[in-house]
Amino acid sequence: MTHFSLQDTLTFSPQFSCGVKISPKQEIQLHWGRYHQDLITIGTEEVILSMFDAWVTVPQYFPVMACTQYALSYQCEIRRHLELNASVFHKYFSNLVEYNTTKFSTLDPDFVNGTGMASGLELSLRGVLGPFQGWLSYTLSQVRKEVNGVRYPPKYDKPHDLDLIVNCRLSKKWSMGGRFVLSSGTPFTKIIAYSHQPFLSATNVIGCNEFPIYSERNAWRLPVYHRLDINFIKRFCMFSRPMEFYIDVANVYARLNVLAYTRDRQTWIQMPPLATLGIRGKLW
Amino acid sequence: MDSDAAIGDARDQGEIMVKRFLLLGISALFLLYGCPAGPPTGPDVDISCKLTMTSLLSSRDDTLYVYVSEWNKFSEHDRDFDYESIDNPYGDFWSVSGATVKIEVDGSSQLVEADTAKTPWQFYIHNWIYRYIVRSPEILPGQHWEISVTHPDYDSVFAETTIPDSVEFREFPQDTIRSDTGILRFSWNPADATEGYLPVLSFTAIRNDGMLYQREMLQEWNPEHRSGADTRSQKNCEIQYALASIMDQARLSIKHKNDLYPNPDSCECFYFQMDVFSMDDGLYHIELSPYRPDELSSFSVPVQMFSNVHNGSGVLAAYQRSSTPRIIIDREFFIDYIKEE
Repeated sequence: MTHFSLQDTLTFSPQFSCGVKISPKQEIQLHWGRYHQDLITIGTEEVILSMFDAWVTVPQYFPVMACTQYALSYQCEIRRHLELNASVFHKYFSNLVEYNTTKFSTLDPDFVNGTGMASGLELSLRGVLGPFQGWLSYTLSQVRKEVNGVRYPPKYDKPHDLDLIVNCRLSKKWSMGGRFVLSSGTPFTKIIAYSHQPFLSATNVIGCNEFPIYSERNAWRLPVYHRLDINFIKRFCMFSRPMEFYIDVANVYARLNVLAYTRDRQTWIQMPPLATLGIRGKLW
Repeated sequence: MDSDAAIGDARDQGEIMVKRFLLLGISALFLLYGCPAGPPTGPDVDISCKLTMTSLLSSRDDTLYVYVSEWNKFSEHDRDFDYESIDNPYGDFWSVSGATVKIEVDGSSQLVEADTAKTPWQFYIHNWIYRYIVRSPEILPGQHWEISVTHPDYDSVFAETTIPDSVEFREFPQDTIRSDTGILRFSWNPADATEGYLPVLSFTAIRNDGMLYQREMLQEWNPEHRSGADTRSQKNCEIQYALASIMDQARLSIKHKNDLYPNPDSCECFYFQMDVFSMDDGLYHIELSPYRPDELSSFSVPVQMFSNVHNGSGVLAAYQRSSTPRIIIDREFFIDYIKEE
């Protein structure tokens, strides 16, 4: 139970989990829980690069945010050091509080509330396979928000998300690792056309404005995102202390992942290949 | 010894496999290098058949204009525009000719004529070469207007609105309007007369449902307007800008009676006229549009332009204007106020 002083509300957040071993190496788990939160970040769906997230409490005139979660998972030890996990989940968010992006005048509220849902399937395989160790995970999901009567996928919605992390020991001193990410493009609101409209004041027509016509909110998706990062590590000793010399290379094959499209039809590309090298260790 | 050898062989084979894997991987990286992203994906809309229709219904005008535009794939700023090759000399590539515009007022049809700007002046007033007009429209509160536009090359669009009622005014006893703060601010509510807000007790407005407009006017009278720093306001000699306020669906402005910059030494008192604009929903949203957060920044929030036009875009908007009796504001206050500047 939690008391939120601003809303003067006492919330009850029960959680229930149970598991059944159907064989020595297989287990099924069921989970249900209800959660509450009174902190939100001030940000909009359309902010491309968020330098920092400002956290504020939910305004007094809204109830605290609540989420109900259901999950069913299955675990299986395929063999020694190799484990498969599969789970399905569904979350329903009530009283989602969002920054009001259509606040035009001082009379409009700073925040509006809505609802949301997230459903999906998660698969993961982790363990050791020959000289490799790491994990492979895949998520199939759908996330939706409904605010001001508009239902849309939020900017972090990725229906398909594949993540592969592998580490490999090349020799006694050298090891390497890599991470490959493949995911659906994130949603954005596209300008689909331009048109002209007289600029009206209450008394007359005072000019002509070109204005963009947008698609439905977040109806479009950026191209598929994929990226490979690799790293090499060499272990050595210095002053009798274990040290590591490392080289990290992000976006190894310079995939031109799209960050955003600007209003003047330019395409902004995300990070180019980026190499970092250094030495790390404990000197004392 | 044999088992150690076997382990050693397995390790060697493992290392060979890893090296082959790495070699293949690095080769694949060269193939993938600079891999471009494809186009974005989404529900495409055939914009070539879409129209924008806009019209403002005003009882003050003797001609009603209906503007019909097409949707363009590119912004006018993107166009490599050849002004010499176009049919018209003024650079309007958006207006649409050949449309059939039907207007019905409470079910009765209005005569709509197609009109073309024939002189640069006619064009620059409206920025539309082709427009559709109704001469001497009778626009009265409570009327229901419907406008439909059909064209063989475009989808039909439709909009409707109801002419809003005008507001009624009620006079209250006049009060002294003074402030020690040097900033002239008005309030509808006498209780807010403190903190520098000046109560406008001589006047208030009521709506037809009897509710009073009593919202605070938080805008300050910006001294720049009076000192001439803003040339636009000085040119028109109106003292209305900083006091303009959007309240519910009405806009209020205060104008100097003579539309001249007031000379406090030659005035016995100041006459102000309150205009309350009753707006329909369309005009209210268009009036708000300058405050939209949608600026020309790539990081801005995309906000749809308000539209009440079905199957297209644009707006059909209407308003009524009501004027109050004059309001007399204490002359001495103004003289003191201006001298302090």
